[in-house]
Amino acid sequence: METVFKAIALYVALLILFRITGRRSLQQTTTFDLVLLLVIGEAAQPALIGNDNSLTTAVLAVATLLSIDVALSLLKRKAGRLERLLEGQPTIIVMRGTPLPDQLRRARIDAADVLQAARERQGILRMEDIGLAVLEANGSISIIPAERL
Amino acid sequence: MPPQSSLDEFRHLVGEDPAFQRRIWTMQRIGWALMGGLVLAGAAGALGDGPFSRGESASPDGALRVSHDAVTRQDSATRWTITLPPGARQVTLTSDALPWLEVLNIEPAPDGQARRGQALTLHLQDSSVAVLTVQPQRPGIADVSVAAGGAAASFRTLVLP
Repeated sequence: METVFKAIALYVALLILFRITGRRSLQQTTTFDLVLLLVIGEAAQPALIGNDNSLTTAVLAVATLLSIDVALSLLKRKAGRLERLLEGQPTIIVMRGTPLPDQLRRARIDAADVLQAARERQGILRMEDIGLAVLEANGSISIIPAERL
Repeated sequence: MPPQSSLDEFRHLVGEDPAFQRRIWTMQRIGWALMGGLVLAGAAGALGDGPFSRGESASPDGALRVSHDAVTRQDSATRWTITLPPGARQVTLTSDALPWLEVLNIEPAPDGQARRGQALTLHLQDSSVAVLTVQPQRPGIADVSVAAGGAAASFRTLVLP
């Protein structure tokens, strides 16, 4: 029983902490971020199962985490506001070649990040060739070339 | 800056709600402050295992003193240092929480100990100080009363999950 409650508490805590951390950390996953995620997993694991190394506890903990995930995804489908709260929403950061400074600053993204995405996704080299740059809910940057607007 | 009407149109197209987004960003900033506060509190020991979590309790005459953690964590060892009144060689700890407080070690080793219900009595021969290493098995609040040589003191320990 304790495992279920601990898994729920840990899921909620991680959800809040990662939501607070924001999208930028997802958008630019570096090797260090990957190592950090592994360390976070290691730090959270003892709180979840303690000294109980039984297969039952491991399966119960994983089943609880996945069940909450499924339940939340179903809930998010029904409540759009909850989905936006938990997942975020697209944010326009460049329009018709003009960076929107307030949006960029708040999203902790700079022009270099946008240009990198423009090069990678559309082969665009100059800011003025970007029609629309959108920071997506998943942290990636979508680029729509100016000629397609 | 691009014309606002055009920006609004594109925001509608991509599904952006600027007011909602601003609220999210504000909440994030508040979250960062809370997270920073949590880290600072943890570093200062306010969440256990640090100077801010230490507590001191004594009998009214000061003869019996207990140094303990006011805040500790489940499954973490915590130390209670009990200084007995002069001449006292027996100390009794009473607490509703004793069933889930596992005594890992007592220094110096007592000559004898007896556990009756919610009371633990230690018989000490040569020492006026007893150090108990205790490990809470679950979160909660432990109210502990200590009695020795006619003096009594009590303290409270918050056990975090």
